[in-house]
Amino acid sequence: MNPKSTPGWIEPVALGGVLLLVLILLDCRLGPLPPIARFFNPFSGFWLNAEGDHPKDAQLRAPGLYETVTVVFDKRQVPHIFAQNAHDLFFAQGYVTARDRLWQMEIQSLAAAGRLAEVMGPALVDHDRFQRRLGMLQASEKTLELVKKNEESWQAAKAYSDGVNAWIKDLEPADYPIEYKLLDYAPRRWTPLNTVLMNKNLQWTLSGGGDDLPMTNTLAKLGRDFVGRYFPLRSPDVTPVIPPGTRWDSTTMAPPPPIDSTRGTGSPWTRFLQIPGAGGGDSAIRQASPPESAEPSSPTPLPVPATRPDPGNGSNNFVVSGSRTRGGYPILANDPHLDLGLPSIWYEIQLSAPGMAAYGVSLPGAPAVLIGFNRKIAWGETNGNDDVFDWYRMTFKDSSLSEYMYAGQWKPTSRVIEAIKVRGGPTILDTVVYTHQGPLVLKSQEKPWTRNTPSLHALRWLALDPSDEMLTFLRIMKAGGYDEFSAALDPFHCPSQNFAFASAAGDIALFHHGLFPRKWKGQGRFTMDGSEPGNDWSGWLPRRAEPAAKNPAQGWLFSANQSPTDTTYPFYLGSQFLNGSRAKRLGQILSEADSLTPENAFGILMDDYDLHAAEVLPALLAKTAKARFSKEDSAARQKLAAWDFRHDAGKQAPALFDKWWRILYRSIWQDEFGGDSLHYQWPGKDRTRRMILEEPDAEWFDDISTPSRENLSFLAARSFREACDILRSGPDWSHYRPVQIRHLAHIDAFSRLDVMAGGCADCVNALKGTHGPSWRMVVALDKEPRGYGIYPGGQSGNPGSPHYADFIGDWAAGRYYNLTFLTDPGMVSGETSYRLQLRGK
Amino acid sequence: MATLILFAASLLGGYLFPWWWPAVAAYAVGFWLPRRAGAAFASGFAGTALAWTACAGFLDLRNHHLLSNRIADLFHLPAGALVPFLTGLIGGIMGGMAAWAGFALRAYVKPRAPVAVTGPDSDTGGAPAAAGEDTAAV
Repeated sequence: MNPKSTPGWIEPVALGGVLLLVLILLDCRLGPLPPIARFFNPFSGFWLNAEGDHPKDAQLRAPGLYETVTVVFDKRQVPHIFAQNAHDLFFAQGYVTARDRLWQMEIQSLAAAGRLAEVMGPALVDHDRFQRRLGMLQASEKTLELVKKNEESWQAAKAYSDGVNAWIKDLEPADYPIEYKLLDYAPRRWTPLNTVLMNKNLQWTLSGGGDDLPMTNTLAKLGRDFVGRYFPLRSPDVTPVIPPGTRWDSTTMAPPPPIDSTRGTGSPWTRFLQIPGAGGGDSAIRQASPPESAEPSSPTPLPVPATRPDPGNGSNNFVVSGSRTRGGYPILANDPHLDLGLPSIWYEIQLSAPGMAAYGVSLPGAPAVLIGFNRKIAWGETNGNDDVFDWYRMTFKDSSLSEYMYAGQWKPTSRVIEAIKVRGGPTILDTVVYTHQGPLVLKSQEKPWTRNTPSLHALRWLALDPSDEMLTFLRIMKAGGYDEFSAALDPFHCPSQNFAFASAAGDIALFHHGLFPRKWKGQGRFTMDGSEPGNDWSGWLPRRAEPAAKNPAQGWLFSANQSPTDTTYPFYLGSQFLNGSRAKRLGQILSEADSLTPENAFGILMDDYDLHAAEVLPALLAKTAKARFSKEDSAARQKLAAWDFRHDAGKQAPALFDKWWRILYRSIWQDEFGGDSLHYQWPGKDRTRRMILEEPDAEWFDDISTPSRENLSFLAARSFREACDILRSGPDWSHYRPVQIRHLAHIDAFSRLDVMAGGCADCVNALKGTHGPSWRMVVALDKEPRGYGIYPGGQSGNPGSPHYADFIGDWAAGRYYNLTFLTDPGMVSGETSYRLQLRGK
Repeated sequence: MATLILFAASLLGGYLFPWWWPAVAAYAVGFWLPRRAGAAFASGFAGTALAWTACAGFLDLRNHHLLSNRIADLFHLPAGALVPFLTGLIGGIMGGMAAWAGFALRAYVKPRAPVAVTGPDSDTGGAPAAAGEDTAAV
């Protein structure tokens, strides 16, 4: 009507533009938000992950299978796989594991490989660089070459991959696990390398890290006498894994001659602090604190899968022979303590094919069962804690790092270029320098990813040598007795484990097993001079020299990561065994256990008696008996005095004791170690307790930062008042130490942060806040083995599934499920939920 | 009418086409049916929002709010039961915008008489139609 006002085409064009803009905004990631419309739309977004109630029996086509495979799912969604041959068995294992845990297995293998930035962007570059520097990817590729040569494991790894890929191939974006939708990427093809990487991850968790750097700093600061006295290699009152009196077969070789690491120029220990060519000073050992851990507020997922080894990684296992059980059959129990996460680190499964079977827990991403039983034997592992992770101080000719001093000569380094792909950014190339010992993890002045990583040190780590641990578990599935089980352990090198074994034939055994470098006493306890050939590892202990025991007269064996042997064992295996209250308590319980039943074993794994508190608390109360306390504080003392030393969820005393101990411990050692920013190893809890009990006048109780002289009574009273002040509200144990089971990407909404449960670091039930019994299992080796077990999670990795976290309540309450070993797929069990038939054609 | 058509199209097409399908459908419906911009927006919004809310609501009920409660937690919403409505709102904004843009194109290329030809348009549905919106450029 009025052509002089706005032209008519403006409006449709403008509105069309706005529409396009809206569509684009709805389709792209804005900051931490997922693409909104793609994520929310009810046809392909997260709503498709909202699982309904009951899956039905189904037949599925899975090209690649030779024969039909039947998978029976029970009510807890545990698959019982029945295949006609090994290929189909592992194919089906890959298939159903991918169905339930695809995102988890992929993200964990990407994390191990140092490929997280590829899917999660620049924030993960530091993580990836660290993984590459450790040599994780290089080592995995070398390991894969070895696996290819072992027909048995190669076939299993390939079949497993094919199974995973058969599942992925049929996935539409609508079917992707919710994390892919949230983080907006797609699953990649699975390869046997991913499987190898999963094992590398476990090796890092259980044998990586180490305390060489802080031990070296402590040695430099307080000297050899201090270290010798306050860092004992054994504890007088903890029974070793292999009972004293066991004979060692060490006839064929002697330990290598010790090297005096202090020899050479300069004052003995201070030269640890001098790194030529590194900018001088103590830069090699002075470390900044590690980067802030990603604790995003939802809905901001910044996923850093837990890849830092916890120094408290520990576990329990025990076997009791029929002579000491009520039923006359052996009983085996095991609970590996690991970081608790969702989806759980474990996936429960039964695998059955002619000539091989196992029921237990598997690692999503890898074939076979790691801890479990078949119809004749049961097995379970705890970490061996042997030292196979050593650092060498390197002297480089110049800052190009191209030559290093070794045996009086300059030797060339080698280099590997690692390409780190970054989502939304250019690929980063990183040069990793290798000496003959191993990779240089930190160059000069780089920010450390973990604070116990020294710069300009080369890493010698057993996990970087190729080894095929998968083969062990494949062979255990075929084992029917002691001899086959023992032989199956041969290929297992790293991380060393205490393998507990029991058989329906009545045998019990414990193998402290792994590949052990032949070391001189104390070798690798501190960082070593990398130019000295005598500091290199020189050969390996033969298998027959490994600490192991079978059917001991006492009728029981156990391990809790303590020293494997008494002092008669001729070889040095390391200094990081956990000779603490947990091991002592478990040994005490078992030595008194007579006519044990599986139910007793349940109770033992749930034992929350704190022997550390029982030993030290009476002494602390006595030491502070004469001190003056306010009325409230005196009431708190009464509570402590009446405590039965059990860390039950609802009690207040354990919280009070824990706080008191922590403050006291800190006030004893803070003045010795707190003066600078170096990372020191402090004497442990057990040694400190012994000092309180046996050396109450030790000089270390004096606070050297004050002119006056403090003593134990003073510190104990002061720290008690502080603890009372902090805990004014009187929280009970489970609120003071909440159990938090976090989603792997630290997404709070997918986590359980409010679990109420007892247990403590020093209890057999070693449940700390985010770390603890990741799988509790008890097996009675009756004519037909009867298994019981539970883990804190659920079979499904999907937060929208009723099976995502359904075991947690029962786990916290100490309940166990029957692990029903089905003998054939037609077996009707009240627990059967549905069946899948997988057909190749 | 437009709302109904869009509701059906969003539901059925949702399983066949990408998530932005309702934008296409609403653009077309906005082009053909409504008489006023406000009505176009309203029917585009309502048709898509209803379809998305209904579909999400069904999945949510079947899932006993298990996942929606987690999503609510993730996006700081007070309750999982709101998540289907948030879903509908997102769909609705897209549908409404698309229908409005479709209507604007129609108004430009082939303006319709402002008076009903076949009878009063029943599709305004009480939706707000701001004065400025219903001026087709004629």
